[in-house]
Amino acid sequence: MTNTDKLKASNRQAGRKHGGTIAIGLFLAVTGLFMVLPIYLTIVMSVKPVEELFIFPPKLYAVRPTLDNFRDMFRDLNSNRVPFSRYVFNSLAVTVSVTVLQCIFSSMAAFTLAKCKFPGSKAINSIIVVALLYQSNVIYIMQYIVMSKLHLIDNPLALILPSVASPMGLFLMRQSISQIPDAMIEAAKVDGAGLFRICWQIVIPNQKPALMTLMIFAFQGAWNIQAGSWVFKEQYKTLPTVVTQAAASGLAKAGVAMAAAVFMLLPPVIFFMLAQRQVIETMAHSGIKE
Amino acid sequence: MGPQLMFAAVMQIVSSFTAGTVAQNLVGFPSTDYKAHTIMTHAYDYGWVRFEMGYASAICMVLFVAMYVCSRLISRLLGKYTD
Repeated sequence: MTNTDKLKASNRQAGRKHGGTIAIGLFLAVTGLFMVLPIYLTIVMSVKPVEELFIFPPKLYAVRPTLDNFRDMFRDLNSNRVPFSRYVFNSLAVTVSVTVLQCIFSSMAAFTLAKCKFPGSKAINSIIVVALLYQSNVIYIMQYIVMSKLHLIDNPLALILPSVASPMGLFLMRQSISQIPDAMIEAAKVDGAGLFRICWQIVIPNQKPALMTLMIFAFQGAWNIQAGSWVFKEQYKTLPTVVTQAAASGLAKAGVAMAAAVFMLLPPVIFFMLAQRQVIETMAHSGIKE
Repeated sequence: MGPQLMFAAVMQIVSSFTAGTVAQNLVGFPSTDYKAHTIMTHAYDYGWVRFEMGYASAICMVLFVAMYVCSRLISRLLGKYTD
């Protein structure tokens, strides 16, 4: 079957004329280009020399592309008292542990809240929705007090622990797990599986799309965790903190700021692309025949 | 799709009620004649610039109640798709 035949078949299935498919394709292509534009602009801006950065109106391409901005950024970052590799290590440690822990905690808690009936489960479910509506500004002071009472100030754990339990991830997983038919869980129970086994061998493998979405969100959030008001020791600070410091030195360092933006943008984008493929692959598997 | 729609709705409620960063980046903070002020920038102004924390907390409380009402309404609307 050639591609044209496939196209005709799918058109017939959707009840669409040939022109309709072309129109939809064009519309999607234009929308997609629009979505890619910010990322493209970030990258193009980082390879422009300083004198080109402030041309108005901004150009969509660099006239004389250069990697000077990246060289300057690494030179700035290496001139710190703490070696640059230390920051990279800190950031990687925080990102990996937050992503892994958040996925484990969120999926286990979500399974319990969605599929186990116990007194107060309804109340906890609505508290989670309320927790999503909070402003992060409002809880700064309480967070600091809790941190200092737990002796977590100037402790690297202070970067990891607050992000491990995330209402957003919990809500995402809960909504998705609640769609799993009860019949499947009952079948597992009949076969003698305990709750833990049901969670990890039946429910979570079926939830790969949601889990991947959660991983993308968690990775993005964790990669941007800053030392903030809890960690003051230079050797525990993370990459975003130093990169923003390097970028915040005014107009003369605008090129460095652009390079820093690209440097911070790339890992989440790459991770997103890798995880995205997984999401589409696992959507094909389905659970049960009704 | 009900549960996923609910998730998307709640996340959108939060992000649209707390919008303000884009306007801040475009026209500055505070904007000329406070023309581009949103609730969020208003609360930020009173909380971290004028340090009238009580008033800022009240704004956040109102914002919170509004968001809660919205999310209840939407979950009522989506109720027939969720179990």
